[in-house]
Amino acid sequence: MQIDLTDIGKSYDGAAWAVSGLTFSIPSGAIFGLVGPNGAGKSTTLRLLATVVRPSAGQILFDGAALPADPSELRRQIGFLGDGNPLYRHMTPAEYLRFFGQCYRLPGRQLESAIEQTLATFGLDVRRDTPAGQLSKGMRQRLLIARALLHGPRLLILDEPADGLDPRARSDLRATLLRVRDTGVTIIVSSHILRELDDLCDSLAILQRGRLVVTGRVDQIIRGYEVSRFVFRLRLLGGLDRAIEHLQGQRVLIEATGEEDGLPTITLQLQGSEEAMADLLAGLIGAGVRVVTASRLRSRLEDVYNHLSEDRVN
Amino acid sequence: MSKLNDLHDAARPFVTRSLRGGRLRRYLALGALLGALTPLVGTWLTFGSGGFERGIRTSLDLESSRWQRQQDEFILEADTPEQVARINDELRRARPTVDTSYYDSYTEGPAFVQEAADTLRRAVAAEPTREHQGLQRAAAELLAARGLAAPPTDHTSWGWFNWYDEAHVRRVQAIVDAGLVPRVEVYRSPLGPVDAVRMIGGIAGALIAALMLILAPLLAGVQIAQEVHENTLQPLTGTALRGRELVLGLTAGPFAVIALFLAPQALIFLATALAAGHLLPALGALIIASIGAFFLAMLTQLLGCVLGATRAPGVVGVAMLSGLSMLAMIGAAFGLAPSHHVVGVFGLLPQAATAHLLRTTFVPHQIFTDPTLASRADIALGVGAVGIAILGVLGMRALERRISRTSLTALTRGEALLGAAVATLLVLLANPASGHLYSTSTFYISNLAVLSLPFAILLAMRVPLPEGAERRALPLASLLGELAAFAALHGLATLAVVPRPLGAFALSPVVYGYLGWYLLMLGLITIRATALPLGLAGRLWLGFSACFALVAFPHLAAWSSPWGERGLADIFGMTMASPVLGVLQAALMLAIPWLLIRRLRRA
Repeated sequence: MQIDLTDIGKSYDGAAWAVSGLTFSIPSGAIFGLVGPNGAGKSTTLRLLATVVRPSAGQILFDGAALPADPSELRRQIGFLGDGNPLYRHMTPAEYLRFFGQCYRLPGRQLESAIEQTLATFGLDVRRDTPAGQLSKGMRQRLLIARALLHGPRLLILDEPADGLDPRARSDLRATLLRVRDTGVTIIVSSHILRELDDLCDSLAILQRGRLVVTGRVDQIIRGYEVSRFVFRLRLLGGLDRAIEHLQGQRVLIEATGEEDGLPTITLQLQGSEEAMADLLAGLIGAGVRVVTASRLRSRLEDVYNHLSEDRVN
Repeated sequence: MSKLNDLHDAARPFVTRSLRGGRLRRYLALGALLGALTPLVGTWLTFGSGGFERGIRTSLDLESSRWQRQQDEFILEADTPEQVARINDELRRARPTVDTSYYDSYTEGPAFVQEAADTLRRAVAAEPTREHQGLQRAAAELLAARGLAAPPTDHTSWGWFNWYDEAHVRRVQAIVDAGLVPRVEVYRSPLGPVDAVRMIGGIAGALIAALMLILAPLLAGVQIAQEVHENTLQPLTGTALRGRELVLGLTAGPFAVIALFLAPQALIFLATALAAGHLLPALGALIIASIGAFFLAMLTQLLGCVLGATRAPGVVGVAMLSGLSMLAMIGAAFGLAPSHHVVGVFGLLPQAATAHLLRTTFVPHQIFTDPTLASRADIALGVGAVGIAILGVLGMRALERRISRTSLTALTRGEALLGAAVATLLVLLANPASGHLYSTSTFYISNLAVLSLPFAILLAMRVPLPEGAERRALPLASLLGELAAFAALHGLATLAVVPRPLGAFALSPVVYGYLGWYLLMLGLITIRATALPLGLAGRLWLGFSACFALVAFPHLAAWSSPWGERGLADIFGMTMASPVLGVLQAALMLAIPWLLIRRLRRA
C-alpha cells in the first residue's frame, strides 16, 4: 500500500500542533522508519496513518484514495500496534487472536484458518492454550504483532515494537518484519533507538517537535549526509604519538583513539574527498608511521540524526 | 438488515470473549440451576409456615400479620398441635375479670380472652352508631352472662373504642360471634396454588430486575474500567469496529452473560404472569428494565472510563455496586409501596418503575384503583421510558466519543441541552408542582438541588477531553454559559408548569445572587474536576468547596420564603452565629470561585 501525506497537521485542542506540515511518501512494500525523540509526534503520526485519529489539516492518500469519512473498511487493510503493548493476560493466544479477528470482521471459517496459520508462523502454536500473562516478553510481543497481521493487512504500523525486548527477541522481531515485508506488506515502524532501524528500514522520516526534518531512502540520506564527511579508522603498528603529532598539522579531526587486536587505532574525520585521504596516508607513511590498515567507516543513522537533530537520542 | 449485521459484527467478538472456554457451559448450568431454584423458593415462601416466610408474605401484603389476624378473627394461632392443646387447656381454666391491671401475669390464652372482654366493655361504654346498636346490645348481653358487665375505668381498662372504626367493629363482631371463646388453631399459610404461581413469578421478576438494573450495568462498568486501567481499550480503537460499535460490543459482552441467567427467569416470569397475573405490566416491566439497564450501563461505562484511569477496577466496582444497590433499594421502596405523592418518581427511576410494574403484574397496589392516579402512573412510566432512553442514547454517544477520541468533547452543545431538558422534565414529573405548598421559587430551588448532579454530569461531558500531554484550551466562559442555560431552561419549565405567582423569586436580588453564585460554584467545581488532574490536596479542596457551595440552599430557601422578616445581616447566614463567621462566609464566597477560576485559567 502506497501512502502519501501532504501537509498533514494534527491539533488536539485547536491551539497547539502535535504535528504539522508533514509531507512525505511511503512506498508500497517497504519498511518505513519513523524516527524522533520522545514527544516528536511519532505516535500521533502513526495514529493518523492508522486512521485512529483524523488530521486537522492536509491530506493522506492510501493507494491514491483519500481517507474516507468512515474508515472502518480501510482499517481492515491496516494492522496497528500502538504503544504500550497491552494484552489481555487471561486470554490464551488463540482466544486473543480470535477476539481481534472478529473485531476485524473476519468470517468464522476464514478466521479459524488464519488463527492456525498465524500461530504457526509466529511460533506460538505450542503455547496456543497458555494464558498470555504466562508467556515470555518476546512471545507476548510476537503475539501482538501476530494480532496486527492476523487479518492480512496490506499496511502494518508498529509503534516502538522493540521496546523492552532483549537482544535475542529484537533479532527475532527484525527477522519477522523482514519476512512480512517480503510478502508485500508495507511496514511503518517507529523507534527512538536508531540502531534498530539502521539496517531494517528501506526509507525513513525524522521528526522533531512535530515537524519533518528529513525523509527519503536510508542509503540516500546517509550518502547525502556523507558528501562532505569522511571518517576513517587507521590501524597502526606502533608510532601512535608520532601519527597524532603529524595529524595535528593537517586539516583533520581526530575523533577517537583506541586499540584493536592489540594494535593502536585512530578514528579521524577529514574534510574533502578520498584523494585527500590518500595524500594524508602518504604523509603519515613519509613521517615514519607504519600503517597496517586504513578503512572508511560508513556513517550510520545515528550519526546522521545526531548531526541533524537539536536533541540527542539514545 | 445491514444495521442488524453491523450489530451482530459488533457484538460477536465481545460475546465470544465473555463466553470463551468453558464459560458458556458454566453460565448455562448456573442459569438453569437458578431457574430451577426459583419455583422451589417460590413454593416454599408461599406455603411455608415459619416466621421468615410469613414475614415475607406479610411485607408483600399477601396476608396479615399474626397479631392482626388474631385481632380481626378472634382466633389464637399456635405453631404445633401440642401448643394448641396447651392453650385450650389454659382457656378452659381461665376466668376473665373486670380488672385488667395484671395482664402481664397471664399466659397467652387467658390474656387474649381478658383483652377481648375489655374490648367489649369499652364498646358497650362507647356511643354506637345507629347501625351498630344491635351489636352493642349483643356485646352487653355476653358480658352480663359472664359477669363482666362493670363499666371500664381508667384503672381497670386502657385504650379507647370507636364505633366508626371498621377494624374496631369487626373485632367486636368476631368476639361476639365466638361467644368470648377464641378458636385455637395451628397456623398454616392462607395462600393457595394461584398465590404460589404469583410468588414464583414475583421472585423471577425480582431476579430479572436485580440482574438488569444492578449486575448488568455493574459488569459493563467494571469491564471498561479494567480496559482503561490496563490500556487494552486502545488497540480496539484501531480495528474495523466503529466507535459506536465498540460501545455496543463492550455492552453486549457482559449483557450476554447476564442474558444466560436472565432467560430462564424471563420465561418463568412471563409464564406465571400469563397464568396468574397480568401480561401487559409484565411486558412493560421487561421493557422498562431493559431501557433502564441500557441507560445505567452507559452511565457506569462512562464512570468506568473516567475512574478506571486512576483507580483499580475492584475499587470502581465496589463504588458502582454501592451506588446501584442504593438506587435499587430506593426504587423498590417507591415502586412496591407507593404513595399518592411519589408516583412521578416512576419516570425518574427505572428501578421504581420496574418494581411498580412487577407488583402490578401480580398484586396491584390498592391506591391504583383510583383511575386518576393510575393514569398519572402510566404517564410517568411512558415519559420516563422515553426520557431514560434519550439519556441512554446521549450516554452512548458520549462514550463513543470518549473511546474513539474522535471529538474534543463527549457531547455537543445541542446534545447537552437536550439532556438537560430531559432531566428537567423527569425531575418535574417526579416532584410535581401539585405537591408543593410554597412558592414557585421554592419549587425551583428544590428541583435545582436534584438537578445539580445531572447538570454537572452534562457539563463534564462538555469539557474538552484530555488527550495525551497536549495542552487544551479551556473555554471557561462558554462552559459556564452552558450551565446557566441549563438552569434557565429549568426556570422556564418551572414557570410553565407552576400556575402560581412568582413570589419572592422574582423580587429578591439576594435570591438571584445566591443562585448565580451556586451555579458558578457548581460549574467551576465540575470543570476543575474534569479538566485537570487532581491530587489528594486538590480532592480535599474540591470536596470542601462542594460542601461550602451547599450553603446557598438554606439562604435561597430563607430569602425566597414569603414569610418572616429579613435584614442585611441575614445575607450571610453565619452572622447569626457570630459576626466573625459571617465575615468568614463572605470571604470564602469570594475566595473559592476566584481561586478556582485562577487555577483553571492558568491551566
